[in-house]
Amino acid sequence: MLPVPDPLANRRAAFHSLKERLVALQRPAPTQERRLPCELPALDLALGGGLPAGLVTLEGPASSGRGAIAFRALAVASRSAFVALLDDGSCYPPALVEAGVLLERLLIVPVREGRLLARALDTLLRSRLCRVVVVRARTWSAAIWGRFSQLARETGSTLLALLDDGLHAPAGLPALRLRCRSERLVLCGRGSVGGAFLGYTFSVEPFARALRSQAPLVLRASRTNEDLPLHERATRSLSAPQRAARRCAV
Amino acid sequence: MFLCAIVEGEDLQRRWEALLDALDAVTPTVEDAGLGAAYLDMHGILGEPALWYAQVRTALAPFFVDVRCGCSEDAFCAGVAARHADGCVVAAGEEAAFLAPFPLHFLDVDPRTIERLVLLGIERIGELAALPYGAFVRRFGARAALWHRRASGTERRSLVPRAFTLPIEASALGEGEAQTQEQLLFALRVLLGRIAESCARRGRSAGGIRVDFFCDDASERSIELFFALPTAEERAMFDVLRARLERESFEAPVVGMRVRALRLEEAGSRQMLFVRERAQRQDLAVALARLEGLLGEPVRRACLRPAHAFEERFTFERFTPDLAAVEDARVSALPALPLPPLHLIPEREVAVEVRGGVPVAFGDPPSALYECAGPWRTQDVAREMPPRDEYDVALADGRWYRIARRQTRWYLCGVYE
Repeated sequence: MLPVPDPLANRRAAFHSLKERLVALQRPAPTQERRLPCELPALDLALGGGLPAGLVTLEGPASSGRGAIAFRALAVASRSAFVALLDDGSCYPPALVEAGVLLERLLIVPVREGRLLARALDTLLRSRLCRVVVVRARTWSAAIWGRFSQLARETGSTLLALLDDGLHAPAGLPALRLRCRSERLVLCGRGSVGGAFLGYTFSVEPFARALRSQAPLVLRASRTNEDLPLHERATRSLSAPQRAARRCAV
Repeated sequence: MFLCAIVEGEDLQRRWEALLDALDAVTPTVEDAGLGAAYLDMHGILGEPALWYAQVRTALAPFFVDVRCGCSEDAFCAGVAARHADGCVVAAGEEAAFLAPFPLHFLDVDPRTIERLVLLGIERIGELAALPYGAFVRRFGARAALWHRRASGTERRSLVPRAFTLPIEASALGEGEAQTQEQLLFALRVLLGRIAESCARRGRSAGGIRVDFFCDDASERSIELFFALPTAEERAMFDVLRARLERESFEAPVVGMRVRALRLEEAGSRQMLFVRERAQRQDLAVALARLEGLLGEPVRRACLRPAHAFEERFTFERFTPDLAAVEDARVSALPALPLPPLHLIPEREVAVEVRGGVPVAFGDPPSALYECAGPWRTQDVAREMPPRDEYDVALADGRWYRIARRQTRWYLCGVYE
């Protein structure tokens, strides 16, 4: 006997689909699959799509490219979610805008006391509001590092901790460690004296258990594109109106 | 005599209502002519223009703003006089002569019409006033009548006084003292309940609240906080206030409290089914209040501004979750739902059989439900309706309905196509 086709099968399937979507709305997104691209192709490729959720440490001395990576992550995440920056007084918003961060979605939390920094960070992570939180880390105990790492992992946020030389998060806690080092400055002009600063090249060494390569993988990412012709590179240091005027002149 | 005050200064948008309130000390009839301009009706007020100007400056002195004033028997003429020169007074009967040399854009004529008038050789207000009234109005339409009257200095309109809103507040003074956190929160909840009730009764929603605490040692403390969305819901207000109070401590028992609703807006709640946006904003407001309580200063948002010096190219302002910024990534990442249209119908009570808290049969005679999705908690604040749970149900014959439960009764409120 042939099976009788159900005339309402399509409607039932549609209702099931609707119900699944509604349930999915109430369920937090799976954290292990969420990767946040930095839009630095070489770095994203090496990391399997981008920064993972959880604690990510950016280690290195000042002006080594940690901020560039953090700002890239803020820019990408701010297109679709809130992001936060715990500001110790060194935040310069024009640089954030230049990196592409949407300021209307950036929570700038003013924290100057080390005692309050950990509490504010804890509050931010527990609120589950921000996709990316950037903090200049202090000397914290292993228990505090562990708490932040766990909170970030559970909430699906990426906690980017900028660590100065000499500071380290306890081994095993960060989902990813990036060690940054500046390679060279890029100037435009005849020589270093009087030349216009265009940017710098820095290298990044990611350490993560998930990476296939055991040896540190050295990547080079740059704020400048050296393949561009010279006059194009020169215009990168100008403001938007100046660039437009330069284009018109050319 | 009408007086026009042109006000310029920093952060005028936020302080404009307070500025207008201050001008009430000069005359009882003040018209809000948009940000930075106000008309005052000085008929019957003792004195002369110079004295009135001094009174206006005195009233606005606490705000540190620049003020320019002008006077005339015609309100429009007074506005032009104020823009022309500070302290300008146009005598009665000389309005047309005063206005004659000014360009046409003072009349609020649209640029396209100005182009047409210029082609006809009319560039000044005086030239427009010299045109024959009837022919001009027939040629340029009804708005031209207003332009002609203004140009002739014969508009002579009355001012539209500002609408005053009665404050919504609740207080508890002399009713004992709160020594523990539970007592304090209980009293606050009672007061917020009264505020929410008043808001709902007047069809308003509050964008924020101000709470004044009066302690037993004669000290006072005030807290202002703002919500993610204007609301008339007691729970939404209380959640934000409780988060803000987490880090507060009082030296002495609290013997009095006063709660006042701020930023009152017209009520009317958007009911967004299948979207968590409202809850997200409430979460954000709670987190912001908690951080402010912890840090002692609000979370900030950066704004850029043009400036020569590097350090002046940005400012910080209080972070407020406005409509454009709030977007849940998890929701926005989902593709559009293939939802069939829902027709809302006049509600009528229906019989629903419930098993384990979930509807299983519906209608009279009861039809078994094939599927049930929900519940979704909704509340119609504008109509002062209590919250209710809504379900989407599918019958075995393929029809879909939206039903709602309010307390123990069930209502049919929508039918899917």
